[in-house]
Amino acid sequence: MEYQSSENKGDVRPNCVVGIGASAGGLEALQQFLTFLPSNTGMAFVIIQHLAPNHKSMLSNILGKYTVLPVVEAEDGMRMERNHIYMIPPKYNLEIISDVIILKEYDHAKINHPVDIFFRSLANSYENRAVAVILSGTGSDGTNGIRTIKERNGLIIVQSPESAKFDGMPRSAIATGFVDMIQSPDSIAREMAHIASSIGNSGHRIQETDHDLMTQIFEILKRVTNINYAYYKQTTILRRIERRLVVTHNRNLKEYVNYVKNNPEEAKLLAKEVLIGVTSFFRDEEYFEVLKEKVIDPLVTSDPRSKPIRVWVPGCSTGEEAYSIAILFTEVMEERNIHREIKIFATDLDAEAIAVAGRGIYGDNIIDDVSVTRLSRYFTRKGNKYIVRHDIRKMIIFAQHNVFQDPPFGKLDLISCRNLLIYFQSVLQRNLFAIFHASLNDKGYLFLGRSESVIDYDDIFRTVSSNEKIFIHNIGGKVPANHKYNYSMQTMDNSFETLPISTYSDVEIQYDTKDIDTSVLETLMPTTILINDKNEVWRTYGDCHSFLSIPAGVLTTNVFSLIRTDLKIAVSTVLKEAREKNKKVIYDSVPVMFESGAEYIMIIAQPIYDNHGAVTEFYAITLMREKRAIEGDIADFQIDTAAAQRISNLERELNVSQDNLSHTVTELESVNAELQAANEELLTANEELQSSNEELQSVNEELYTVNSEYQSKVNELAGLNDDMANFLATTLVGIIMVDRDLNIRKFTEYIATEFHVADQDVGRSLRYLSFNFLTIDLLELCRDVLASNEPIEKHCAAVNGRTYLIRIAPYYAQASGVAAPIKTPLSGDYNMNGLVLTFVDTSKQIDDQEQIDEMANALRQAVQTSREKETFLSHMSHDMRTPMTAIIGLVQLSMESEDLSPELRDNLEKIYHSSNYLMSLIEEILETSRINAGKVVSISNTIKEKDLLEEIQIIIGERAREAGLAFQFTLEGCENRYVLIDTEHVERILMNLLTNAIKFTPAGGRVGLDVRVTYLPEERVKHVYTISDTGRGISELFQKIMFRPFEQEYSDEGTRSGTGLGLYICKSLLDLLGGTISCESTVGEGTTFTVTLTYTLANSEQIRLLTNKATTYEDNLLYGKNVLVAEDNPIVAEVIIKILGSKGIHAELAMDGQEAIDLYQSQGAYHFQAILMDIRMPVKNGMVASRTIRQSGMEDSSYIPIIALTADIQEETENSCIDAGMNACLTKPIGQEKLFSLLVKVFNETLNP
Amino acid sequence: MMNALLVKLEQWGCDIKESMDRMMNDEAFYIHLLKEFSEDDSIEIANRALEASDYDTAFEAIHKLKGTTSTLGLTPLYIDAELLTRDLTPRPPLRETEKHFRHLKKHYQECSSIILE
Repeated sequence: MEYQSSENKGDVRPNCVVGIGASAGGLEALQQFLTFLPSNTGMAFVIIQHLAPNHKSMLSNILGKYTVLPVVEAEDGMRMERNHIYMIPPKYNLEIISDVIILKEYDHAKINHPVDIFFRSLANSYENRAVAVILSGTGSDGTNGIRTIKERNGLIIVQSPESAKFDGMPRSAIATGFVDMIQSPDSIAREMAHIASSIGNSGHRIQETDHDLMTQIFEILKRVTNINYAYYKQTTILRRIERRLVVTHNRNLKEYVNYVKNNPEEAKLLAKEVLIGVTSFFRDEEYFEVLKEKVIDPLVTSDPRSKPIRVWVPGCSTGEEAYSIAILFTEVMEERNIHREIKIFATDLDAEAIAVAGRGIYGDNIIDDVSVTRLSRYFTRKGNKYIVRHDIRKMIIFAQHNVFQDPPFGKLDLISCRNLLIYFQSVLQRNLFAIFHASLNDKGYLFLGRSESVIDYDDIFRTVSSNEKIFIHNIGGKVPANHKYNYSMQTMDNSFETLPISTYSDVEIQYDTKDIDTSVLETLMPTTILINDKNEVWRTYGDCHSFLSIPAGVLTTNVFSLIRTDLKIAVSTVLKEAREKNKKVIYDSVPVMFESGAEYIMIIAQPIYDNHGAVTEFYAITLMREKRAIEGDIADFQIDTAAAQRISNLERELNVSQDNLSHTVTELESVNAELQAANEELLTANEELQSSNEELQSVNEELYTVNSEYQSKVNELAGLNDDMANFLATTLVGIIMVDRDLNIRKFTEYIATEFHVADQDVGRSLRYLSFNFLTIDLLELCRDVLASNEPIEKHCAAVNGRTYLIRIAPYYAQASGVAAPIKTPLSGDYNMNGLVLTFVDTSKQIDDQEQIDEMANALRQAVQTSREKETFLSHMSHDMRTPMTAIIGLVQLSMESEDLSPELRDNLEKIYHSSNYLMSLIEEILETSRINAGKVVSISNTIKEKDLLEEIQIIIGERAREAGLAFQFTLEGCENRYVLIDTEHVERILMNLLTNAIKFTPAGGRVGLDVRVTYLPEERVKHVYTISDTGRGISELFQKIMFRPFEQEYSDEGTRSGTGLGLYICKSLLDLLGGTISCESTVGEGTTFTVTLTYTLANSEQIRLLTNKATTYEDNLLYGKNVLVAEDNPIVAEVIIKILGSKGIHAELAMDGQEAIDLYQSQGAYHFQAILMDIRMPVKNGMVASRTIRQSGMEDSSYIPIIALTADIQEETENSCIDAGMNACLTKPIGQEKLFSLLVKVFNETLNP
Repeated sequence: MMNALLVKLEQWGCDIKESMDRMMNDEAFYIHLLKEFSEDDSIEIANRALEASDYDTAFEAIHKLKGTTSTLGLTPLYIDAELLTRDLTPRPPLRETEKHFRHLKKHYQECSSIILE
């Protein structure tokens, strides 16, 4: 079905597409994400949520409430538009080709990974304009898909596990090492605008012509990794850098270079990014099948079978490719029933990747790449991990290795180098082929990646299978003209030290007799071989070369392996006889064919005794080519007899062995068959179990999603139900709802009282009521509305003597039967299910109209008067405050003069006290006025319960002590939890009451503050503050009026003290906070005020915000930025630098305006992201410096944010700063909140102009 | 428990709470700056400048002092400095300059005594 957009205004294609994968717990994350998502990014968003296949999803409806963007369920063939959100429908997988949505129904009996499927298609269609987001969910869906995203230089963002309800999917993705950002859903949403702007703005793309900057980057990378990237493919590196630019909120390469220089951690991240290898098991599976058939099978069946097969996998990354090859070798050996020794060398530059490879542990996302059979045979499952089996693992040696710097492996039968060459320029590729040429055996194989080739080495590496990129090594092939085999061998520079040789002439030599004897024996004795009881040669004497030789293959000292073949039987026989008889045995005339001709030799075997005559394990076998006269029996060696005897013995042994073997083989076969059968059963059972497990998991996630949706709807319905019930019960408008048959369904209380309708009348016909109306036919009117679908209004009179305005309108419900809010015009989705009758009593209308008009006038006048009064009070107090401050200050100064007469001093003191009193009065009037005008609002902070009380305790304690009073503080039941308190006002209330207590208690008395804390249900806590004193007390009469403004009780002296507003203000603030105050007092004994306030306990999020410096979008935006601070006051500068440093912002200081200009210009454009400029500075002030910078003509001079720092808060100063080219003003003293808020604002503006 | 120096300064009239917030609640850093301030030479410079009737230099020195004292929350000194900057703005300066300056010096001595105790 072809989807047509209702708006066809120009190009609506998205500039990039964001794929969002979510499962269990995803609803909450999506709600948060959409709440903070900007509406104009130009992106399209595709939500892939795990859904139950047979359940109609309400997600589009639910999520639509959290965003102004249209949320639509995707349809096949639909063309994506920017600033739209598309939901995957149930039962389908969703892919995109270009900007067209393709839906494919999937078999929900099988395991399905919709997020992986979508991410792969997203990566293929949008490449570096693809953004993959993984939110809450169990399992590992999405982990494989992000590999493709990574390969195509897309961006990958994952919800932070601690913020996710289910962290399986996020953790699985993070474990790949491919993730670019890990944040909470709201921060992810706020990143979107910046990402869209960065990806969409081609001006931000790095050009290869930024040569100097790229050189700096390579130098930094070389310092970190010791690799020269100059010959790597530049486009690949540039695309990786571009992605880091987006992630680190840098606008261009220059800024990024500074960022990397200032943040060593970033250099490591970039190096890892560049090195990152995307690999998987059996990547391009069909290629591996061809490799198995055309390479591995011939290698396994090749001769000699004893020769080990050597394989090299350079750039193996996390090991999947090497393990894949090992598995193929194992399979072929099993199929052919051949055992070969396989040695696989798997190497990579990245030590971390090698460590992962060596562990051989992979997540369950590998089931997409490895067949169930192979998983069962070659992996062990533990939890949700797969571990490579030991027999596969031991075939591979993993090592960190630089293919260009470290010596290569040699005598190789196969090199698998897939998707490594694509990172290199031609010069490095040639270097690598030269290394392969030297490393591979003739007729060895080379296996490359899908899009790689052998360039001009095609005669050296001849094609075996062109599609699958399999080549065979032709060692005699023609090398290219510029062929050069080299690699850097730093150790070869060291010259060998020659061994020192001593001269003999000046040294007197001492000879050892034993050595002389040995030397004589060795040279003059006939050939004699000394063997032990294992027939191992210990020593030889005489010339043995005619009789002994070292065979090919494994080195051995067994005499029968070393002796000539034609003497094996003879030597074996004579030795056996000598051992049996335990004496010398001699065989003569043993024929041997020497090179010089046939000769007879004598073989003597005799035991060797030690010095004490005891038998040792040794026997000597002497072989003489000359006849000599020897003592002892000499038996001519009869070859035939000896051989026959020997053969006979051997045959006997062989028969026995054969019998045993046959028996054993039969048993083994039997056992093997049983084991195989059992294994097959286990395999089948395992496959079924795995399958069931995956299905269960999938169903579980779907159920969770469905449950969340239902729960959300239920909550909504419950709320609506409550609203309806309350509305019906309390409204003074008469409403009756009837069905199509005019039977009563619902009615309001008003109708019940007016027309004596009760609950049992529900279901009865409306005609029951219609007789009440004299002047209309109610039923007829209802039938008219049912027929026409149009509402009508009529005035009528009722039997109760009242007049009404009646409105009869259709009642609409959703086609599914769930009630819907009324909406017009009627669409196909709604049915008319009945009518709504509304009755408005118009009897008193006319009479009341004049009264209402009069009241309205009076109210308007009162409001006007109140406003005027408020304005007057405010202005008057404000205008009076300034000169009062001056009067107090001047009087203070005057009083310090030493020239004053006592009378003048007395007068000044009186003026001082009166002025202070007047000042307090003005302050309190102002505050009262603000409270009355509703300008005072309650703002709660997250604070620990004791924190507020500690401070009050300290201050009041001190004041009480100064007044000669005892102060007592008690606290009961407090667990010191985090609560939300309007600290400013609560402190004010308590301080007021306690100050009064101190004021009205004579010295020697006591003031007390007792606090009792009670924790209530629903996360609430009650604090009861009891302020008591042993002062003069308050009369009963005054207690009745004490909370009124300007009321004061006269003291005994008849003089007032205070303004009379303190208690009024306390009461007003308590009303604002929802608290209460009461008083008990006895004149002459003391007073007790009791204040009760209830607070809400802070939730974990609020506590976390307070206590945890969690990374937010704002923190990320500020981190790593460079700011120029121009401030001549060293103390102020130190404080500013410290504040900036707390957010990871680097500051460089200039002490005057000229220094600021010089520093900015010398560091170059984009080195600084903002300038904080003090106005008053020596040499050049801030305004002049700012103008100079703006006119400097540097690339960023016109828009680098410059923020003025000034102590002067006048509007005139601010205007001057703006005229001088500054962006904003900050008033000193600098506070961190205002500073960061302003910096975030200006950085956002520069990133998203 | 707040450092005793800061308690005394608070009792003397300083706005310690807001200043601590500005100092990122780093008491040691705050005290270090206070000690640095006790060696501030702005008053000396202003004194010499006033004696020589160099009102521009005096103004700059007092302005600098105003910035430092507001940053450190030394409210009594800040008020004195604020008054003096107003006195020194017009030419000739207001008559109260000398009195205000004596006041400032007195407060500075009190403050330094507390800091160096």
